[in-house]
Amino acid sequence: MRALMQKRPYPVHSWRELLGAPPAATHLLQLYDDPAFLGNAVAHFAAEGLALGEAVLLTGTPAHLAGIQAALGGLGVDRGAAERQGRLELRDVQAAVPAVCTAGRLDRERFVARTREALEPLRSRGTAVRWWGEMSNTLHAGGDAEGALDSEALANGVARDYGATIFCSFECDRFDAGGYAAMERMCRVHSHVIPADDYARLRLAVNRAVADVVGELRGSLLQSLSSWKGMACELPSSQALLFWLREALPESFDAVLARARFYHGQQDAAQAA
Amino acid sequence: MTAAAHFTDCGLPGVRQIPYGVHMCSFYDGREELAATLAPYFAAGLRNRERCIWVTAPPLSADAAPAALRCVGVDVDAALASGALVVRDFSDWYAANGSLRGKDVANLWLAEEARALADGHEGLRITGNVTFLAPRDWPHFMEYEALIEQAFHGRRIVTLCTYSRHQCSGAEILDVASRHSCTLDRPDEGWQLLTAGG
Repeated sequence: MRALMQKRPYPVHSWRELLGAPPAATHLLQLYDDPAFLGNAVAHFAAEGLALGEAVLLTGTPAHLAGIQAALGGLGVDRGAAERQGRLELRDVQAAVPAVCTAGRLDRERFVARTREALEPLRSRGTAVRWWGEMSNTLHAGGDAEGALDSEALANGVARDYGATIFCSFECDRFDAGGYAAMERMCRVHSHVIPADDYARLRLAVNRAVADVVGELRGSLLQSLSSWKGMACELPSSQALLFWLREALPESFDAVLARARFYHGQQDAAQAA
Repeated sequence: MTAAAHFTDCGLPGVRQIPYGVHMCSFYDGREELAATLAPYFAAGLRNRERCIWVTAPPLSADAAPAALRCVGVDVDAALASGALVVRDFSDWYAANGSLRGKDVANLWLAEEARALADGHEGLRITGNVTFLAPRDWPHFMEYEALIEQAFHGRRIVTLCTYSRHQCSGAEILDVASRHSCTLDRPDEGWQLLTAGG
């Protein structure tokens, strides 16, 4: 019981608070399927850091960096000034991948060396360092799933040396059961997970889907859910519920995801109307 | 103080001693199940010389709660007269204490604990039923529950928060369970305590 008293509650607020003022030494993960969500979230993370006098490193694809720059402009960030002060640096992840790989696989030593080179100068340019990147997503998409996970663990170690907060984005379809094994492994190497742009919308869709397919959570299901060990990372309860369901009721998982996708889409349609 | 003094009787069959400072939750179906949970819980508290504060809400009102306690053999009139038992409806309780939220409410309970100990009680036993919560208040109330979980740790307070099953879908069950020390569950005639990780 004592161990449980120290557990972290599932967050109920939006990702904006988390990205605006992340707790020290956090390693955040965004699950996204919409580049606009990525751009807005990363821009918010960067803008809040710059406003606090921090230095910010953004390592993304050219397309994503363009979206982030546009979003930063929308937030009123003077990107040119921040770059001239050396507090904002943008790097192309696709250009960086060959430099950290050997024979198409992540080279741990080269990755650590390159990461240190990138973070070292930033340390003296701000009150703290924020680093957003999609190296692991790029490696994963390129077929190096193990390298992607390795890069997260290595980045975590280096970032700790520099007191940097890391924010990663991972592209996935949260309603596709086939992607859950990779998604779960990726979540487990992060401290906080942002699974959706709109937490309330995801909660509504998942709750309705579970109610439709599984019914009321009582008896042995309530026991299982209440005593579930969790994911060892902080994530909203709607996404946690899906991870629990995958473990506890694998035979219903596909059907729940299909219903959740339907309800989530319905809300899209309602908003559009 | 002996080690045993850090524990108290829960009152529910199947669950024996619980530590002071514990912040439990339970999910119920309807008034009868709620009464069957809270009446023995408070009967044990009164036997243990704890001050018991029952803040009621639908479906079990402050008028109906004493009858539930009498059914389990509590001398309600004597307990009320001595101040060992306080039964108040949530609207009266929160009206009497202003529109308090979060940390203020936690401090209010800590002050009640101090009063109970000063009056010679062994500790404070409380419950709250939250059917009055509007969906928009859920995030704030979950913040309060997380705060309580921290604030009551190590105190001589035993807390049982009851949630209607109809109020809680899967995500809400996780929200609630993650903000309490344990979940009280009644799989059959007896009760059991569920903690994360089994």
